[in-house]
Amino acid sequence: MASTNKSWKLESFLDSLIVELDKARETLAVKAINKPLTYAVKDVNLEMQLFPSFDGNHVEFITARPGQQGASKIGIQLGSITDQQIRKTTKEPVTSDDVSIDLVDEIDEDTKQSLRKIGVTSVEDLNEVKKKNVDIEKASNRKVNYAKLAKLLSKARRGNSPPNVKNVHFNISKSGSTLQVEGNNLVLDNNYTPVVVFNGKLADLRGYGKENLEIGIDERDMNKDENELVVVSDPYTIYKMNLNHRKQ
Amino acid sequence: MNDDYLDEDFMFLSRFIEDMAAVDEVLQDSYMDKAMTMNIESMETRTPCELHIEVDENNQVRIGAIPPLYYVETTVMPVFHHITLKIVKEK
Repeated sequence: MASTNKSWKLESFLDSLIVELDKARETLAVKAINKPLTYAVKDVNLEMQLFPSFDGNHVEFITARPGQQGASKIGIQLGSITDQQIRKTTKEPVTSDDVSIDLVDEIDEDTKQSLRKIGVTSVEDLNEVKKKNVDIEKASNRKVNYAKLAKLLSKARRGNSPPNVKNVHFNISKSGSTLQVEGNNLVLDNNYTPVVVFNGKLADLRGYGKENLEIGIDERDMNKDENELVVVSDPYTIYKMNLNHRKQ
Repeated sequence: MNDDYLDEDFMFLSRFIEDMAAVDEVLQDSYMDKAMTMNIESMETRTPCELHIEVDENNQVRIGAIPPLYYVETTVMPVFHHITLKIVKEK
């Protein structure tokens, strides 16, 4: 049930106001198809009588009711905006490779709010800030610890992109045997060298990437029936495979 | 109640703006046996309005508006907000 006597955040109000204005513009645009003489809404300016309130974290507003004196006057002016201007002034939405900070439960609400205030809403934003050597602790009044946050976000990003093994090939040869692992998201963290253990022994990882691993193995370490391969691709991801070697 | 209305008194702000922009009439008259037509190039209007702002269970804000129901001075006057619209003819 909608409530009329509930305070609202300016951001939510503006979202709805823009939606209403867009709806009106769309209707007028449809009208323009059939009528030669049509008009477009160029600017809308809304002056409202409101009472602001502050709960310690957010500023919210409630509209003045009949008989209430001393309301604040707030004017919101919306002008026309072209699609090119939207592209210039709007942030790209969070992509599927990225992680929005809102979706990471381990980050407390205060930290999320501090990050939003400095324009950081995703892992990529945080990386961009770090690349430019911005002292994020200073920018957020010491509310955000970069190292701690980076770990949480990397963990969340890894959780969204689990490793997926599709094929494993044994290449047995006298000059040197290898295991080829193919799949998706096998290694994602470029700052960490993956570790591979084959049948309990540290194996030689010769090449690695997002979609493949090339592991040098000693033929003498191979078992006839079952072989175990463990890959630690980053501090948050370990995957273990039981492999049967079938001679063709 | 149809989709244009938020409740029995207030229409959605979009509908309110659409109605305000409905000036697509050509004025016709004749002078010295010649037909003359005129139309509006642009119009700016500032009008008081009553607003009805409600918050639903998902914290979505819904905005309703109507022109003032009456202007007569009463003991408890309704709150008048103001809306200014600039409407231009599409080329």
